[in-house]
Amino acid sequence: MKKLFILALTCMLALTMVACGGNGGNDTPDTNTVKSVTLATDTDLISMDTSLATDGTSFIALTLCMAGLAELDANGTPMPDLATWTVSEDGLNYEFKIREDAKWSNGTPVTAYDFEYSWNRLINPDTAADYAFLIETCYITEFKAVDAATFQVTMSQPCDFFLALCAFPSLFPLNQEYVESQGDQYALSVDNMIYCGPYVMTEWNQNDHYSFAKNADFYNAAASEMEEITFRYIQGQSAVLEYESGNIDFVKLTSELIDTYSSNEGFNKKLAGYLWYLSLYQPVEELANENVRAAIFYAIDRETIADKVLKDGSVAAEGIVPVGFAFHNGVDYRETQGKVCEFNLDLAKEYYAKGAAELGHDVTLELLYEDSDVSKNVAAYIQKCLQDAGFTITMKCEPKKTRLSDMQNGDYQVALHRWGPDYADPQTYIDLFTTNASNNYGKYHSEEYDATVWEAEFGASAANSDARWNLMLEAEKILLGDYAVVPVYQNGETNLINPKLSGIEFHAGGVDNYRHMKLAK
Amino acid sequence: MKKYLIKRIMISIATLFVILLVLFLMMELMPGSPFNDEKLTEAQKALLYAKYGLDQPLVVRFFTYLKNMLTGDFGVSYAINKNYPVALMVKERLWLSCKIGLLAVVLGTIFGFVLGTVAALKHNSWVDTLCSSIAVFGVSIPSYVFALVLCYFVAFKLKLFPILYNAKKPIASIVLPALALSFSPTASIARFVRSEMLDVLNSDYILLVKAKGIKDYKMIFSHVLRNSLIPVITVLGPIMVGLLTGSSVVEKVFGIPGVGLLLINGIQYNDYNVTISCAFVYSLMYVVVMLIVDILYGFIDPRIRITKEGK
Amino acid sequence: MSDINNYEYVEDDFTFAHDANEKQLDENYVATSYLKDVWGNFKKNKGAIIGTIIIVIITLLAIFGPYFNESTYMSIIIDHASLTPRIPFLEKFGIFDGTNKGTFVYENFKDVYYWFGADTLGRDLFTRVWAGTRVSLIIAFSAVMIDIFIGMVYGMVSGYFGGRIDMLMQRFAEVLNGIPTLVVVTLLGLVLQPGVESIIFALMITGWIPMERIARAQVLKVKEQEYVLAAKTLGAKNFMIIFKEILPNIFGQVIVTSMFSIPNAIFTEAYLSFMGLGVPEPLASLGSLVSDGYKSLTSYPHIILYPVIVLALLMVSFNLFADGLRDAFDPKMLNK
Repeated sequence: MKKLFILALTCMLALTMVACGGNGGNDTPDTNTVKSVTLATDTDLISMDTSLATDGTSFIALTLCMAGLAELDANGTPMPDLATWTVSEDGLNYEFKIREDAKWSNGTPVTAYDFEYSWNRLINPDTAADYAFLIETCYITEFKAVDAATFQVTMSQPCDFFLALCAFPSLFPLNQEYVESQGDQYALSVDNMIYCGPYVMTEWNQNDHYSFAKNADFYNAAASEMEEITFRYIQGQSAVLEYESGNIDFVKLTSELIDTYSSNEGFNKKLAGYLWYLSLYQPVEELANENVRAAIFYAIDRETIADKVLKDGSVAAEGIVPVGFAFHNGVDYRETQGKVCEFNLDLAKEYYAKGAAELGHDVTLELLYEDSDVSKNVAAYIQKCLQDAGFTITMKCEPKKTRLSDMQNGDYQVALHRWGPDYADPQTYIDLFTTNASNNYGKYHSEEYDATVWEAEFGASAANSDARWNLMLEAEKILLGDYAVVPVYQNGETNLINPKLSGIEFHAGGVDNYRHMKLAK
Repeated sequence: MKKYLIKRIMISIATLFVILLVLFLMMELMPGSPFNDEKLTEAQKALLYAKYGLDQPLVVRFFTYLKNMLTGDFGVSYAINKNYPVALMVKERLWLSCKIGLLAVVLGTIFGFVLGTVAALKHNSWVDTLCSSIAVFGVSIPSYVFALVLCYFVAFKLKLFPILYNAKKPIASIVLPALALSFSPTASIARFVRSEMLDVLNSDYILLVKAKGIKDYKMIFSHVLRNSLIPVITVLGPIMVGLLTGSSVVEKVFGIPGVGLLLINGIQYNDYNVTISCAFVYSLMYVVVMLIVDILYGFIDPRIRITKEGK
Repeated sequence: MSDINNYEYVEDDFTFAHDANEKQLDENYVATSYLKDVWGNFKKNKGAIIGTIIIVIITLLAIFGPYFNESTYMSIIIDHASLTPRIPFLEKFGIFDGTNKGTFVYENFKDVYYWFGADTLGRDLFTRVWAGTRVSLIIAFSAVMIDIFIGMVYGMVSGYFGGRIDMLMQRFAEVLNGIPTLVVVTLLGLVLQPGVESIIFALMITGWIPMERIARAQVLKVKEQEYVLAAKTLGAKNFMIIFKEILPNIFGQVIVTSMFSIPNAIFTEAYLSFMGLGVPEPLASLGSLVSDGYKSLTSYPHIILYPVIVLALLMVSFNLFADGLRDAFDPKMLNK
């Protein structure tokens, strides 16, 4: 027994020593040469299937190892990638010529049939792809591969943002033979994927990291500087500390950390295209009252929320369409429209008094928000703003998916909600609030608004770029004139980027492009 | 004994069955849906429900799930890692979680033994008070507070270990989490060892040993420790169960891709299969550990078996 | 040991351990009541006394602390965001002087004092910490009260009636006990709307089982004793017997168990908050304060410091208090 005990003790000790001693805090040999880069991502990779991916992180990964008809340049202008194109004069017919040297990583050439298959897969109801609507949104009536090198797209009316969407991963090609041979295993791991982009995926370790290596067979391989790109799924301050110790070259800062790092050399703020707004559920008696809605509209101190609560480069919303997002003849939508949202506490109090008098009682509303750190702080501040104007606000916090279900079921009063745009056109926002739109959670109904939007999308003005643009401007004025929704802020992102790292191209209305990164020695 | 064993195993299986049923019902009650993406149309949502069999009645789904589970198929993930088999996801993470848990138990046992022994030998001295205080702190303070403290001082200030789990440094990465988790077992074992040892030290046969003039350290090793070791084995079970609880928070603090973190993600994304599987794996470990502990009790001390049956 | 056989006995091998002439005197003790006895034992335990004092202080602060200054737990002054602690008078000694890494952060608001500093939205942390302690204590006490009630009723009914009822009730409790608490609590926290009530409810679902075990075991022990038999023979109703005869006997143990459950409940609440299933903004609990502070641990450690200290103190004190109480109720444990 004694021996047994001593043996056991020794074993335990040995085990602990192995565990503790191992390689202690020693770093593995420094592989961080100029040809490899490590980036932090604050959300994990969800899907590598072009038809099924829906989130920014997955899109960035797909843009690295896959390629489409077009690619966005640093300014967000679509440039030829795997294909060049010609457009008919009426803007209704596109003909794409696929490059001869475009190849899959298994050696087969990329053909027009691959695009046809991919697009068909996207809209096939069985795929149940979120982005199936893209084809219809671009007014595409027909797409087909004429031969291996020629892909034709026909539309019922011209679409200003179609070419930009050709750089969107959902419209990337898929190799039918390969995808079908993998069945339901396709794109679930690095063993079930082939690539046609400048990189190939080498590792996908869920919940931890995923890596890419340069694809030497890519037609434009010369343009990719990096030999190896690794994304690590780490968040918050621990991730920032990893940046400080030089283990990663790119990390996102949360609001809490911005003050501390604002003087850091790599500090970098950028504007994104997500717009957060308060959705008001109009069937609720109080919110059916226009004065109450106006009171909410004027009570929100958007500047403070952006500059002092969030601090992350977010800006106060000026309208429902974000700034720096949609352009017509080179002029920003917001520049033409000007500021529609305004903070005016006195006005808010006045409207509140009017509304409360009409209703015959004080107004108590419930504010629904999701349990993310950002939303929590913003919601707390919105509560303060609304209470300053006279409201009583109760709070309801839910996980995002639950919040969405509640909103879809009409089980809410005021909700802090956002819309992530899919293409750089005001339509992606304006479209949300027509009477029959499935995303019109607040049940806003205005015939004038519906008519204006219809005219812009399908009416006589649809083919006329200028007229269409003016209608889009008009629609926002109607929407916000009715105080149907209350824009709050347009989100920004603050990153620490290694000053030696360049070439990450951010796009407010598209997928950020990491293909051209360079890391100086 | 055989009868007792069979009875215990039957109860465990029944418990697991009920747990699965309860988990299923909870998923049913859970608000939200994995397929409420704003960009999906109603028709697409219906299709998705049909595709994953969620349109079937609850009873049918439950038995299909049960049948699949017995063959090792836990379904696929809906949101976290689209269409990836959950069984694989859990398998990849389980080993890591277990490694950290086991290391914590080992560390806790060693530290606990040392603390408890010292306290008992120096009974009623300041050393005893100190050891007992440490034990009270260890039992009282939640493991994630220790995790935060270690994270701040050892990892951030002193930079001795990585702050976050890093798959490239698998060993160094699990030291701090295991240490944070080990405080509570250390404390429980120290308390237990101390009281067991006091019992033994005050017993007649130790008096005899003392009377025979055997040297102190020899006495400790050959008599006292041995006799207080056996009972400690029996508290290890509950301690391991307790670790399961602490582990998910500690995993969150250190960003460890373990089962606990997966459970949290599953909940946040309404990923039913992931949530059920992780919760079930936790329950399974819990039930199995409880079973082993009970059986061990039965072997070590027949009285327990009898009273357990009697109670 | 072999040399025992060869041992040569000498005269003084065996002597009297004590003075043979020592007189054995009987001592008379004053008869004391049970509770007085308990109190007497409890008083002797230094740890328990310290624990009690800390609990009382924290409870008083939880009741009155939020009214010490004009801020409420939800008043936001965004310009005061993340100010470090500053206390009048003490600031002269270089502590609590409102500096952050050497710079005085109250430059623009020289008349402002935040004893514990302000959080990232500029809310007074002193007020929030005590308001949060209050919420945590309310949650813990309510949960434990409900546990005691359910556990006692369930255990006593199960133990008293025995037979098939007991069998069924025990199997049910056993199965429920087989589900890890945290899984149940997490899932319930999700199914119900987050808030104080749902946390209490979630804690209640599994918390009553230890209480039930004690109640049942005691009932089984007491059931066969003469006085219960006597009560039965005299025609006492089942209900009466359970509550009048058995209840007083298990009082001590139940109190001790419930005192051990309180820190457990506080911990579980903190865990839920850390998982993002805690009380909604702008309400605070110790758990939600810790989890908020964690986000700025490296840049503003003062935000997490005070809630963590209060949380730790509270947990330790309740454990010390419960330990002392257990020893006091059960003097056998005293010398350990």
